[in-house]
Amino acid sequence: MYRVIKELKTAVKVPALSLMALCLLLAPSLSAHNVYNSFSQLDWNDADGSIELVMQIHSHELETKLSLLLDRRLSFLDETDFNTLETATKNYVTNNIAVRLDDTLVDLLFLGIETDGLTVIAYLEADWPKRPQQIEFMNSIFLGDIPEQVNSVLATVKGERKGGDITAASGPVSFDFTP
Amino acid sequence: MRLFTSFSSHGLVIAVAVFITSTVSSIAATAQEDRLLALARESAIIAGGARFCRFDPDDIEEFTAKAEARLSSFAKDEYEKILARLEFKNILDAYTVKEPQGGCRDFRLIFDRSRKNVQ
Repeated sequence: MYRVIKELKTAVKVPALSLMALCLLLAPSLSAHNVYNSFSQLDWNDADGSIELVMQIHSHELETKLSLLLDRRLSFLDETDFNTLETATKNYVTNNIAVRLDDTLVDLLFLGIETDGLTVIAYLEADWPKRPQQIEFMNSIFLGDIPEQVNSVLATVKGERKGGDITAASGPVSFDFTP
Repeated sequence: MRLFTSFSSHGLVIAVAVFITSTVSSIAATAQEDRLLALARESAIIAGGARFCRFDPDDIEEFTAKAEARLSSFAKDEYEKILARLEFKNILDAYTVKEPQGGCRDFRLIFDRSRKNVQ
């Protein structure tokens, strides 16, 4: 897992110029709200034997980051940008998350996104028929870009609920669901 | 046989007691969570309205920080803490683009009172 996280951190490094541009582009949205969290809900669905991930990301930060990555100004408010943004979100999110269930790194399938006001909701899932006992989760989106970024996660297995925060200093969160 | 009957009856009593205890604690947990989420919603509506009305950003930030600290102190575990924060964020987003009932002028009073009350 830590090797994966290290690779993730290396992959998400951006040149200093891009970072400066990101800060400048983020400035208006930072003054519009001061809750920088992303929220992920990770649930094991025993009915269909799968692990489901629903992630909420603030649209301003996401479109700014994706615009920089694609070197093109994109907006979730512009319908013609949606397909481009969805593909870019898929690449950005899947490159910045890692889920390990019972010591196995899980390959999550990106199902799509939808927008709800200022929030972008991304849906991912993977087959996992056996009840997981250990869940390790890393989400490094914006951790290198926004100093106060917190990526929170809520995990549920058979009604048992756990929560944790990921910051630039914390590394991945681990949950023990041993019955 | 008598011993078995006695054991069975004790077992039944214990099972019923465990059921009642777990049901009551589950209801209590739900009620506590409901209160926490209601508090998150109330605070977020105030903060969202203040943002819509473009009140002083420092006042709004101070209120938001205190409201979030209060939610964290009422939460019984990390899960509830994050759940409350998520509820706060979602309601805040919704009410930032919605004019408060009665308009911004009347809302000023509500916001000032809420700022004083939130600790």
